[in-house]
Amino acid sequence: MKNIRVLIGILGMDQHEVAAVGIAKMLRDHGMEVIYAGCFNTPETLFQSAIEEDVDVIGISSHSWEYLYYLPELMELLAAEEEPVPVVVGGSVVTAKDAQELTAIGVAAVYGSGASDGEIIDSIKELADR
Amino acid sequence: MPSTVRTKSGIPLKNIYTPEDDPDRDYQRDLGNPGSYPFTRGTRDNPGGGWIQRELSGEGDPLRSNAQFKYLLEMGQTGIDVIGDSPTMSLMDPDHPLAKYVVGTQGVSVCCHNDYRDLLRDIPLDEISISSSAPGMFTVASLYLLAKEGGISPAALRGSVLQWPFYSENCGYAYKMPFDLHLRMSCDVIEFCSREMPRFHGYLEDTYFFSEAGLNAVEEAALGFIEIRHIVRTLLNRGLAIDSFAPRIAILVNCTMDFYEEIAKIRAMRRIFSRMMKEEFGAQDPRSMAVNIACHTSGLSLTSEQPANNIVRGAVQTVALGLAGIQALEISTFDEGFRTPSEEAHRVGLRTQQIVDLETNITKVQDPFGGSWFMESLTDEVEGKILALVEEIESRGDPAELVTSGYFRQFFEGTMSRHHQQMSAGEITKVGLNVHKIPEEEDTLLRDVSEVKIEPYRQRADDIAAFKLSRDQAGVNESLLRVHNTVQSPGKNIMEGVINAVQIGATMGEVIGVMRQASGEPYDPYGHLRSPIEDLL
Amino acid sequence: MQKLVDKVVSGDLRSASRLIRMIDDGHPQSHEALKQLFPHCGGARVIGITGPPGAGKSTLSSSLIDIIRQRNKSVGVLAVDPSSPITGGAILGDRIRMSRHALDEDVFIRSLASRGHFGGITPATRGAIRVMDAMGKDYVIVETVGVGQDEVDIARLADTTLIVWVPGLGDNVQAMKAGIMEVGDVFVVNKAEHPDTANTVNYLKSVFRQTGSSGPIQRDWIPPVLETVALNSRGIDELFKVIDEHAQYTSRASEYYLARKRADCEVELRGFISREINHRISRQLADGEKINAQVGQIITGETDIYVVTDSLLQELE
Repeated sequence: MKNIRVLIGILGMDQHEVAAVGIAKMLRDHGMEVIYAGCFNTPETLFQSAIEEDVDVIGISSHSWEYLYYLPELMELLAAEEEPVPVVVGGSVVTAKDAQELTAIGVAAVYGSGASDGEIIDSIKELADR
Repeated sequence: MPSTVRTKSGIPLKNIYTPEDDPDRDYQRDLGNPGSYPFTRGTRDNPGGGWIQRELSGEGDPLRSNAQFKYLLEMGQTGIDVIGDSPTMSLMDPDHPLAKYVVGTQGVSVCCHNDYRDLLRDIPLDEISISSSAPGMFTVASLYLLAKEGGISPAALRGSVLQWPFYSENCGYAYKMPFDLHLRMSCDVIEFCSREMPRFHGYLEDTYFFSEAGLNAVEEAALGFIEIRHIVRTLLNRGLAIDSFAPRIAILVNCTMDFYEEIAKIRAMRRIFSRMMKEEFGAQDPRSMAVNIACHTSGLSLTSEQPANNIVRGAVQTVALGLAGIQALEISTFDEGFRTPSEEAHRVGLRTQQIVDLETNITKVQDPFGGSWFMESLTDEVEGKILALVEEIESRGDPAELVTSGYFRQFFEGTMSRHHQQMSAGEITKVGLNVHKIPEEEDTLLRDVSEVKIEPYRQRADDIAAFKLSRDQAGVNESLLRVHNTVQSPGKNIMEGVINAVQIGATMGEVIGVMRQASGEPYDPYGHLRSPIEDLL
Repeated sequence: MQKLVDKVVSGDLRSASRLIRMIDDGHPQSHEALKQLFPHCGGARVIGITGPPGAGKSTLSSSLIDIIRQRNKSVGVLAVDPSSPITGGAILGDRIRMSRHALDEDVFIRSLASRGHFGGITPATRGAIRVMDAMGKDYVIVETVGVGQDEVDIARLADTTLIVWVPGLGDNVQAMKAGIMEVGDVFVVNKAEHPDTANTVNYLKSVFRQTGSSGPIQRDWIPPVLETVALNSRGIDELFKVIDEHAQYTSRASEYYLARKRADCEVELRGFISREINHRISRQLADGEKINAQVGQIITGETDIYVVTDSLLQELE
């Protein structure tokens, strides 16, 4: 039986956990194993956790602009891997333009505040299946 | 037909209320005039109406924020409300490696007395009330010093600092210190303010920040009272008289879009507070029973979609608060979903308050809902549910232990998850988000302002690092050692040592670091920094 | 497969992590991989940590990691948490409390969900321990939530088992009587700043004075009772000293300890065999129009469940 494993974390000093906790529980309720990394992560700690946990997807919740600086660093670390783990990003502060920039550096999916649970689950399942 | 409509905390709303819904009202016992026990109708008799009008500010470095204060005051703001950036709120100096991309972007970066000097430059401290969400101990220390430096009596200072030992760790900003130490810091500040700054609220119970974890009105108030009760008991155990500090307790509440329930909540909280202080804690001074309530309107009630709609939400919430009667207000601005307020959003927020205040007469009649069959019965119900929840949680054990055992963390995870589920299921209606949506490309009104980003103030790290090198390090270390030793002496107030340390140039991060060390914790919980007094211990 | 095994043995984190996943997912080749890894196992000392939720197990692990790293030894941590019995999902949040070791290359932390196994110790947990062991980790810490049967499982499996308790949890002391008193090697009363600490410690000590040598096998190690405040590492040096002493004791091949190892081996062996048999049976049956057809007939009353059971079993033999 293969369970999907997702690492959920928040970067830097961003301490808004409402969305991250909500998503983590939602994914659990859809049968996924969520490694919840909480706050105060850096690209390095998330990268290391993703490897140690052999996750299928890394999910970043953002309520501060720090992700704009940290995500390129994370994507760079991952790009050096043989099989880079896909990264998804969610948060109300992510504008459409930011989403385009994130996609350009290799982020697999960006969820705005209007994204439905169904959308998020489907996209994570699809990424995990790759 | 929809099933019964309920408030956010689950109280059913009827289409029509009649005298039968409010049969046994005793005016003196349950309501009283504004300014009289049990203060349901208002903390004070306030014939002019109105409240301290302010908008949450703080951005970039202290001087940039000082400029913000000045333009807000020019626009007619009547008090200052400032919040720190997330490193500041987490007791971290801007030169900490984890702070680098977030200095000044979500509030002001302040970490030493010089910073407060810049922050409050040209602000008449004896005239303007200063409400600070930046760490209370350091705000109070610097305000006290600034007053003295400016030849003002600290007793003339007005404003507030928030105390959040119970919930900061779980859904505010992490202090990364033992609960006992955080509680002691709070109590030391309250005790100090009651003695030295008697017009200043050394204890603002901030229920806003944690209620944004998806709590309903009843949960918000109940958790607030649990913290208030524990802090009051702790201060009483220190031998303080209730009337020496209770008048300096104020509450900052949230206000969502649940119009009636928010009004009922504020009325119920005033009544609960006054009865609690009088009957349970033995207060005799009426000022101990009349609690000032300020409000910050809910950021969670706003949407990133169609941000102009948020202006309407702010206006509706302001009307509710005008009807409930409050002492101070900040509106979460229309760009809240994206950023800390822009100058444009600040102006709209302030204008909203001014329009309600000056154009509508809403504030000219106090507690206009008083005696309403509906509002009185709703107030009773909300009150009953708040008290029941307080009792239920307190019956689980010593509230302090509930903090350390993770009970509240679980509580918040539950409410966060519930909020997510309610949003997903469309149980919370949000125009523009889950109904009446428009295509993204048409959603342009006020987007340009909202989406402007603030660059992190990277220079601050270098400036503070340079400042640290310029100080009398031996003197700083000595002052830090003194703080450290005071923390290790139970029963001693830490404030005096902290004032001494910041006066000599110690930073917030350093003072907090040695306080952590004194209680057996690492100086830097994030593992990057070394304590300046490592070799002296 | 040989390549993956070689890389694990050489200490490669990515390969080890991948192999633990294969074991956890029941990948058909994981059995073979473990077979090949087995000769490289046995070097690690396995410390089990168990106790009720909120007792501070992860924080205690984190403090133990500090000491292990101060001694320049490497460590793997397996943090096992329950899966939801309904959805099969899980939230695994123990890493947060060990975050200060996140970037230390000699600390490998892995979160595991119990995936439907009652109790914390799953066949995958054993496999994961062996992977970390074969990687060359000096210590493997296995952390499980448990009150009851779970502790018994972990105690058989670990070289040293710590039972973590917190004072003032009321009836928990009663719960301790049920079984686990016999299997813990060291009792840790964590959060010892609590005023009830002395009561809890004294109670435990008195129990061991009375029942120290009870149980099916004569016990020659009386479990010490220690106080810690894991949050600020108080009492951890002392605790590690006791863990060392226990290592000395087990190396002397006491009868009690050997019996425990025998019991553990037997449990694992029986587990393997019955799982394999179950697999085979379900492979034979579940292709199973046969089962479906029989169920149909049972429901309609053409035959009954006892007759069908007998006839299917006969076929399998």
